[in-house]
Amino acid sequence: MNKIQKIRKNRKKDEKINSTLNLIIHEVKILLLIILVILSISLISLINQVILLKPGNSNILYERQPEFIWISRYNDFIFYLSKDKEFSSLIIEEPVTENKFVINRSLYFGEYYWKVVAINKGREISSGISMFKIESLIAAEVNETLRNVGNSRVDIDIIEGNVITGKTVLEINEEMPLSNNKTLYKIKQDE
Amino acid sequence: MNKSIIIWIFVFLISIQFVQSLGISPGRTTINFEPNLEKEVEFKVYNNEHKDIKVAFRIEGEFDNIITLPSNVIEFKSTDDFKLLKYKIKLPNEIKKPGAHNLNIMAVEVPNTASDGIITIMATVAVITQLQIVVPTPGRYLEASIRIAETADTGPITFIIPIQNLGTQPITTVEGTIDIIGINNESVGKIKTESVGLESGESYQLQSIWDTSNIKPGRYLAKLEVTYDTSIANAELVFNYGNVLIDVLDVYVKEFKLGEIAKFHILVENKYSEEIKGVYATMDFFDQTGGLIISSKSAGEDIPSGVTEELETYWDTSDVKEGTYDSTLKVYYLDKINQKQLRIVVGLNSIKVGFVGATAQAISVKSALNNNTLLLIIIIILLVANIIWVVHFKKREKKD
Repeated sequence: MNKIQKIRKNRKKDEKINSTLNLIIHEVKILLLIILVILSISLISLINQVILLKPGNSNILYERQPEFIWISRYNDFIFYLSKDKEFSSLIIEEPVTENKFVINRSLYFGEYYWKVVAINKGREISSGISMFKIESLIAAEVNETLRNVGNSRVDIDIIEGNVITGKTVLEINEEMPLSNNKTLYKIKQDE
Repeated sequence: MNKSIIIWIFVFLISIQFVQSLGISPGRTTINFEPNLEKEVEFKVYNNEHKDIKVAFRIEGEFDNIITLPSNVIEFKSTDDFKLLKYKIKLPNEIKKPGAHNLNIMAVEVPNTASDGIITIMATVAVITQLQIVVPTPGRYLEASIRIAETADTGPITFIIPIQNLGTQPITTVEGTIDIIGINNESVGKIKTESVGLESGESYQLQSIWDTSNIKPGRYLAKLEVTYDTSIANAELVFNYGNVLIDVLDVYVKEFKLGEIAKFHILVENKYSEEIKGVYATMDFFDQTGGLIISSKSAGEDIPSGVTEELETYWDTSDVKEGTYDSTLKVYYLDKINQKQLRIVVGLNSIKVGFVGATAQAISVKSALNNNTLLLIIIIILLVANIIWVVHFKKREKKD
């Protein structure tokens, strides 16, 4: 008798565990479905957006002619580059038919804001606003010549024995001959 | 070891040279003057060559006592790309003179002492990060200048207009207009820049491109007018446009008999917007082996703008035989030279002159390519020979 009762008890216990497990599986299924729905909605909304990729927000660049890249399913855009986030000091406002924009001028050092507006069937879909900063880099390479390898035009003071014996200006990538081994070349930003 | 391998190792070793490369960023930090302001300013020093180096710092300029550096010398390991450093500033209570005051923080690579005690002496480079303290002028005040970006001798010209707001107040709109004036005081172009706003102390470079497709080479004046809110700043720049100002149109000999003195007529046109004084030509005549036969020089001529003039050089042909000769024509004007290569065919009763120019260049480029190809073939042959040699000896070792 005791044995039968024990079996019944165990069966009840198993049934309870099974029903709890079924409940958990059911809830996990619902949760997965909700996640799937959220992901789908996000994906659909992402597809309908313009997402700025490069240069990333708050990036510091030494490249003065950066390439701007974004993703979007649309084909027609207007590219905006500005000195302020209100886009009242516009530097560039240009129609583009690709997902990138290559700037044809050298930007000055400082902060810039950019955005892209997609045009689809007369409707404007704007990206967010991204900020980047171009910082000056004063760099020189001395080999057989002195080359300006930074990103700014530079002033060079040529000093021999504490006396300035010459001054010159080097453009980016420009080089000059070296006079002798004991000369000091002081290089500073000229822009 | 194989001789050629030794040669290649030697070539590699002599191609290694001492390179010094140092960088600093930013090149300038601008702050607006505030009495007793205390602040930390970040900067980066770059070890571009990835070497073990020491970098020393020095401060120079006005108010050099207001800066405290973290250290006078820092050490770089070859693995360090850059080091982020900070210096402290403490501004005085008052700076009377308005405008921009500059301080230089200089970074210099300290010469390394080798293990044998020998110091490598090289030309030294000091890269500078500037601290610019702007003491603003009350109200709105903007400074502007104008320069030309490095461009080709022909094609559009890019004007660069550095501007800085040296006033206490922000400027909402800054916009520049450049009026380009020719030598006869006539306006030959008017261009506008973009419009930007500037905070107090902020700097920027406006840019504008001038289409020069219908513009003659010459000297021009760019008159810049920068409008900022309701005020105006002005600047001027005199610049030259174009490189080839004296063009060689033709070279010919009219009447000639072998053995007489040949008179070469050189037709040149002044394409510059002003008269060019003292234009003259030289002609070097070469024989078939490239040896110089004779040099001849013309008289100097003053050529007004837009005028075609004739320069004359002479060649005594008493010892010259019939045949083809090369000649270099150089036309000298201002501080420039316009050079042309000529091919001269001397006959019994005539001399024919032709320009070689582009063809000769093409020939020389082709021959340079051939040399490279030859060098490449030699390298490949040497490599293959070395591989065969090594394989052969390995096989022989195995046999033994």
